[in-house]
Amino acid sequence: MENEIEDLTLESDGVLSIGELAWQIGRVLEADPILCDVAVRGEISNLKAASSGHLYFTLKDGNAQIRCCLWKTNALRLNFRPNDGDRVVATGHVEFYAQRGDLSFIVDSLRFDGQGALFEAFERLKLQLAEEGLFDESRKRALPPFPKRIGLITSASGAVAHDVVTILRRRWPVATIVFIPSAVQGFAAVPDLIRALSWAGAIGDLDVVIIGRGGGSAEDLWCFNDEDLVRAAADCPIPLISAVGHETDYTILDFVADLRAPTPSAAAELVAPDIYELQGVLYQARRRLYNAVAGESRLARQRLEVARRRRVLTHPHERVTALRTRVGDLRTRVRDAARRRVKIESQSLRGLRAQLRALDPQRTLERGFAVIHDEFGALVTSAASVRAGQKLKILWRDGAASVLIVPDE
Amino acid sequence: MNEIENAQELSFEEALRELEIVVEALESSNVPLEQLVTLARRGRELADRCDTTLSGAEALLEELIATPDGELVTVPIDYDEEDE
Repeated sequence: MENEIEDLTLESDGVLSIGELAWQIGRVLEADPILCDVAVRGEISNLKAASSGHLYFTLKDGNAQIRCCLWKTNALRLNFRPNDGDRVVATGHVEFYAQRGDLSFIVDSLRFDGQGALFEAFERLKLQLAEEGLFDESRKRALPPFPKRIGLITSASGAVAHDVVTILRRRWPVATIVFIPSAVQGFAAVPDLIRALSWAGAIGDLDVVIIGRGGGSAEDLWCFNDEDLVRAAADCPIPLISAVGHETDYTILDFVADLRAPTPSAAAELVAPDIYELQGVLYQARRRLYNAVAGESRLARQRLEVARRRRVLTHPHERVTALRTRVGDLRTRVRDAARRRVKIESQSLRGLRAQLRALDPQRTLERGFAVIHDEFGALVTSAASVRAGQKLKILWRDGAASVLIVPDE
Repeated sequence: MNEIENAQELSFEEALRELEIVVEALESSNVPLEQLVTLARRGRELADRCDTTLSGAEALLEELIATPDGELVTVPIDYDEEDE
């Protein structure tokens, strides 16, 4: 190295061209054991994301600043999305950009300057979104109780898909799981996750969607704290379950989701009912149906039996016979009464007749008496009424004769 | 009274809810005897409807992809094969 630098050929008058100067500066920088690989602490400002994917920003502290480049390939490996004001530690090397006469810090990796700063950024965004109402309970939608199509946004390579599918197959095998593969780690995952979310909403037939990712460091999970992703999740047209990391990991996605599952496996348990439980419910319902009908008809049958055993139904003729007897009885009584009456009447008739007979003049005649009538048919009962010459008629028992009264001598 | 929908055309949720109502009604024993049989038959149809869902095919697995035209389609995945 020393030799190379000394090898620089100077022009005769000892003057360098600009290109040569730049070249020399570059060589010195590259050769410096500190500048060629160094970690720098500072605050990000003037951050610009180029359409090429490179990130440009300035790192500064109170006294100094340096221009920084983060090439796309390294930018994709970031675990968070840098923002102006973030305190970070950048690792990289210093380069002289000859065309612009510029000294740049070429950043290979970038991390938050300690968990405190990470937490601060998290809290800042959380507070802002909470103030906007994105976490409000009133925004939370109920999950469909019996989902038919369940969207699952997760990594194609991780264990999450396997776990969720295994659990759902056992628990709720009547659903179709629609797998939507997406990157789930690092800053680069954000646009992919947003894309997957928009697909889940656009396909139109999903009942619910799960965003799942296994456990990891806070920085691994940082994409789930990304503002754009969280806003996309808040706009998701179907109920969303956030299932990121372990039980103790909270991301901002958890707060906007309709339901936070502590783990992806828990999400699989929460998203669908247990088919065996439901089959039990159905079995019970069928039994209750059967019992209700059997009980009702048993009751009805009992009532019917009781009714059947009533004598009117078991011996229907009894009543008729009784009626007939009663009619016969009445008939007899009517007849007897009539007879009695006739007897009484005929007895009194006999009496009357005897009386009549006793008074009959014929019977007197029979005994030898006679009846005398005058010429007018009137009864002559006294001698004083008789005059001489009067013609009278005498009636005897067996005939009559006319007589003429002669004067007394 | 509304015309009774064919039980098989109800959603699982609707069928289950109606089944619960039917069972409750039957157990209340305020049901006239002639309606008992009709209700019980309805209950069985609803339970059958629910069974249709619960005894449905194995869980299907699909993947959502975009065609080159940007159209979203789902394609079935043979999960067990992928598992190996």
